[in-house]
Amino acid sequence: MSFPHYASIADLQHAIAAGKTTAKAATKQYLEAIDRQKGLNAVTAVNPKALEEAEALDVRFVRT
Amino acid sequence: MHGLPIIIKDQIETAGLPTAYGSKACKDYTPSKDATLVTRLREAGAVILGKSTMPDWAASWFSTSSLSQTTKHPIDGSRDPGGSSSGSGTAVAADMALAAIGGDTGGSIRLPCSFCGLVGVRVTPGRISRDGMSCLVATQDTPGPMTKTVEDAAKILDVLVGYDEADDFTSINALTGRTSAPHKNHFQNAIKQPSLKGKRLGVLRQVFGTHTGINSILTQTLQDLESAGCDLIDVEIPDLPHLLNHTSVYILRSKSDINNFLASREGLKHLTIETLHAEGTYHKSLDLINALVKGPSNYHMSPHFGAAVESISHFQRTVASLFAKFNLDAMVYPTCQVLAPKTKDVLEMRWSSLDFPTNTVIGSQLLWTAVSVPVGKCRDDEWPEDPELPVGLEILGVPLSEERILNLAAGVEALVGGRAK
Repeated sequence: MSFPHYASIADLQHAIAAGKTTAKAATKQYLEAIDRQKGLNAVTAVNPKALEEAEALDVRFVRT
Repeated sequence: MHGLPIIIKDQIETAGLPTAYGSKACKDYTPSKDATLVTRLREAGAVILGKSTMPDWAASWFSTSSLSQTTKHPIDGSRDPGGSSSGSGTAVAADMALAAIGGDTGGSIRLPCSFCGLVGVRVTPGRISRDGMSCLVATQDTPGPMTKTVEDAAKILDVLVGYDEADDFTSINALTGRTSAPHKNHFQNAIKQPSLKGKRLGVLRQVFGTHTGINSILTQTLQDLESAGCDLIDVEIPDLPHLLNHTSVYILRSKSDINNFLASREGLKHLTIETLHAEGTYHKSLDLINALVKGPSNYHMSPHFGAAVESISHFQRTVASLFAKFNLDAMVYPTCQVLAPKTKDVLEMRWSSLDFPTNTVIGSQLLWTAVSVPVGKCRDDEWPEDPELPVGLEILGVPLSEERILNLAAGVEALVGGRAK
């Protein structure tokens, strides 16, 4: 489990473009952060398809 | 925005994901269709992580919800993150998402952004489609970005701003006078070279309040702006409390607006705000719900409606006159006169929705555009042992001047640098 640490959208996109992460890996980190911080009571519902949707984006990204 | 992990305020509909608008009456409701803005985000490559907490029907400056109770402030767990886009504020500040979409009627994007140290944009109502969003005040409601940086807000605006047949308020986009489709990086381009030199900012001193820490941060920020070449002009809106009182339309129309929304959804049309109120199905601290159910059933027939419309025009002319007289690019002031409140105070109803000292209502009731940008952190006068809390600067612009106020916000962001983090 690791902590998401992106300072901006560009920060994340550079990491993806450089192959340091993927949409799926980043999504997983953020889902874990949501789960870990349940006590803050900020989230009403988590998208059960988030990882699947991120993975589809990664496939699309590779193709283009 | 490939791969952007984003959270959506539960006021906004997401297909297949429970959407409850902050109300326990809707806890089992799942829309079949995405709001237009959600569709646009998905098409742009964002990943919807989930939905965030809000008070019932967005009717509060705080997180108090019959569905989710209260949400914790990301820095100080004894405080509220503000509302009504409460969970969105906490989520981005606590790195549960890289950005969030909130909803702003009287200040519900800007207030949690100010309290949580984020950038929040209230666009002129209609620049972004309200399709698929529950309604509180139809003329004032707008969704918008809640982000860590001004550039991120601009990126989101580039995806979301534009005409949508499903919401005719988006026809306002034609009033920019441009006849060609905007460049896909239109807002990002507008902030690329932030320029403060020679900018004329009206400083609305009368709403600075008395909080020592907030005033210290504002003084520093204004000094920095002056050093960077801004012209600061002290301005005053005559009779402001009176103007704000007379241009507040929640009692006049929120009941109709909420009920019209409920009636438009197959799964919700059995509900009305009056029956929810009568049953006690709303968080007990929501004085605004208690007040708005007493409003007229049809505001068009109310003798107060004409007066309110005229007051709004008068308010617009009054503030626009200051912009005209002093050639202002924007007005600036603290987003709120206090820091993120203690949850205990919120639950004990220390403030009513009419007297909580948020300055966000100015931009909302003018029907103009405003952005809140973090400018520092300070201790709370009442609780000096508590952790330092974020302070937001609100930058108010005339209708459709988002590009100008975002450019200013980018300039402020660069100027303030690490101080706001």
